[in-house]
Amino acid sequence: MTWLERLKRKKIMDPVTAALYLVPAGVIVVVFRLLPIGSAFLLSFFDVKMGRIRGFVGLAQYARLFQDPTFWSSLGTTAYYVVGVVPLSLFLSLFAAVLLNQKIRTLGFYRTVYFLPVVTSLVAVSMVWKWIFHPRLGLLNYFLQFLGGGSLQWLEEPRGIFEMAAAGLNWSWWPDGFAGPSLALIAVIVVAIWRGIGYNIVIFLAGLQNIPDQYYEAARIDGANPRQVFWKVTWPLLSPTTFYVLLSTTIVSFQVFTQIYLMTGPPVGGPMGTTKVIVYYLFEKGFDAGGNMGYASAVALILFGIILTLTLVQRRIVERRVYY
Amino acid sequence: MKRYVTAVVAVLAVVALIAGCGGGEEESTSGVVTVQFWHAMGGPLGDALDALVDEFNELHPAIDIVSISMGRYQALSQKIMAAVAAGQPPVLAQAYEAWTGELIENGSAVPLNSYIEGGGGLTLAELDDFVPGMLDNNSWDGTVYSFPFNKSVRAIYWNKDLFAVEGLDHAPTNWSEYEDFARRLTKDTDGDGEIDQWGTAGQISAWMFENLLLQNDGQILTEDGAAAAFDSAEGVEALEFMVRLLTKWGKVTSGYEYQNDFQAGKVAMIEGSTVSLSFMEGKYTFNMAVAPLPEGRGKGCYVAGTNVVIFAEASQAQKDAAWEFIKWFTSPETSARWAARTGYAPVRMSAMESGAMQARFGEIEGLEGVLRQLEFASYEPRSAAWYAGRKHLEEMGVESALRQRMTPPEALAKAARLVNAELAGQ
Repeated sequence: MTWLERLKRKKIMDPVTAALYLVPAGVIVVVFRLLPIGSAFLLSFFDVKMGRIRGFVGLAQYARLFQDPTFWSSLGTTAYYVVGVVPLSLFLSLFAAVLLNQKIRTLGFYRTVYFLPVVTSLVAVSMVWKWIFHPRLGLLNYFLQFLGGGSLQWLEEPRGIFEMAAAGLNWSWWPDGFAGPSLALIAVIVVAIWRGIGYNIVIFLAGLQNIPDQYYEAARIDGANPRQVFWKVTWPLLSPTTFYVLLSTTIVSFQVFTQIYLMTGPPVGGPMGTTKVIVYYLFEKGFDAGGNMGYASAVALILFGIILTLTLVQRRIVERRVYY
Repeated sequence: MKRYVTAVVAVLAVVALIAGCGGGEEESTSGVVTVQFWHAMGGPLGDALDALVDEFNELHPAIDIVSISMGRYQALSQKIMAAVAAGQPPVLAQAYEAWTGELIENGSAVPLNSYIEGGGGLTLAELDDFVPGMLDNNSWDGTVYSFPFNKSVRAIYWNKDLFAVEGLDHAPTNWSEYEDFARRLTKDTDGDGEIDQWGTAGQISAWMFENLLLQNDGQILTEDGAAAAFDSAEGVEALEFMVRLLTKWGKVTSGYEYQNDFQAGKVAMIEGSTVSLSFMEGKYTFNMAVAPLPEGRGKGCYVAGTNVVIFAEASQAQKDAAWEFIKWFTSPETSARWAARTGYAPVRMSAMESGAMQARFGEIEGLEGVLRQLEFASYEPRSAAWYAGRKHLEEMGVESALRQRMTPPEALAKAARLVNAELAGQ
């Protein structure tokens, strides 16, 4: 018997082993998550430039933040983005997951196809889509023209989609402030949905396969039609999964950055700032010349507060309908 | 046992990871001083710079300048700021005046006066030879912190063949000619009811507006730099002119497409930076010439481009080596060759007379006149607040007017509000 086994027998090794296993993940979480979050909180009360703290400013940066029109417009843009991405992504991925949950022969192929965008580099995806949306050379306008339509400016179109629709219907007047998200933002939203859907499908599939077959059998014996089976069996039993997907998609959507950074502009966030989301605003404030990390930290904390509040609200309202 | 080994390996991996994050100073043992030079020169400009860096390294066996392109200026700025925050900046980097201002405040920029006045420095005659205003624009409270590196001015590029069809033999020299020529050169050549040759074209550019503003006797900011001044009557007039020019007798394209259209002969004249020359080289087949910007109420031209700074964190040997490079790069001879190859403006007036520049003037008609704009050139405000504010002028002021989302007075008023918020915050 080795010393190791002897130790194990005495149950001394157990907590030590557990701790050792926790170290890699623990170090990463502490160093790359908890410490930065803590320091961001502290930094938001200081004037920080180029890594040097130049003085305590209390809540001044928050005050300045709330007076910055660009901050508010970037919040609005983010809200449009979240509202654009979350419901549609949820609906499409659930729809696809239910289809992929059938017993058809080419299942493996389809599951791979839907998951491909998720494993493809986001940078590559963004560049390819930017080209697809190109007003003159892009594939999308080529198809539009092929189908007899006009071409659109896509990522270079600052007009809101509601306003464009009104113009398309020859309404000469549309109220200011109800223009809606710009077509450029819609283009980014389309890519985000396309890209994120595969991941959600996998989660939904796991949830669907967790539903025991007996319930379906019982429903069928009782003479339930497919729609009833879905609404009375699948939907309620899938609700913990749906709730999880809702929460995670919402959070990720609030934090969108890469697609905006790569697909829009120049300047990034264009045209006319209609795709400048809150995280890009934060990035600009913190990292551009004369960047103020303290100010950017304040933006980060506001974003954190918004996401936290929204998650709590979702828990209160939505979780009541979740069956565990 | 196996489990124990796995755990140990995992711990070692983490330790290695953390140790790896520390990074290490590059110590040279061979007596060669290595100087990291961060810049944002890409494409033909990057090739030209690398060629000169190689040449310098060959001439100076004890110095190794390592040229590292960071891609775009924005990426360069972000990397410099992050590197300074981490205490590991390069030795030498391109920097806009606004960045240098921040670096000085942070104590990261090396004052260059002692180098200029020292043994390996520059004589008064040499200092006088620098393009007027350029060194002043690199000085803060009488101390020189950076040296002009890649500077450019705007020019009119015109297609002589298309002009000749209209009986025009010169580029526009004033605003009314500018608009008149653009109008006459905008035509439907094949009679299908659609315009297929435009007088002019351009991109959404704050720089173009600023030049027009200056020619119209307007100012970007108030004298004390505390508030926007571009929303004045002069500014509105300049933007109205720009909108008329680019939407009635021209078109607004995204990115540098207007340049491609010009090369393809679909646009008769464009405004652009002198650097565009190196991107257009060999891509057009017509007779092309360049010309200085047309005059408004007066002549006016803003210089764009960056300078180089030396970082205080570098070792003395590295700083000395970096100064050696700056001195060599801004010498009339190197400056002339850099300018001739890239289209950037030489930083020394005597470079204009050099063989390299004279040969270039022979190749590109009108280039000398374009570069002579340096003699009366102006410089944009240097504050970090304006650097941030400029984006608002471009996005809200110029873009919304050119896309005809707002009238010029509305657009400028909105941009001014955003710029003032930026100026008030810093």
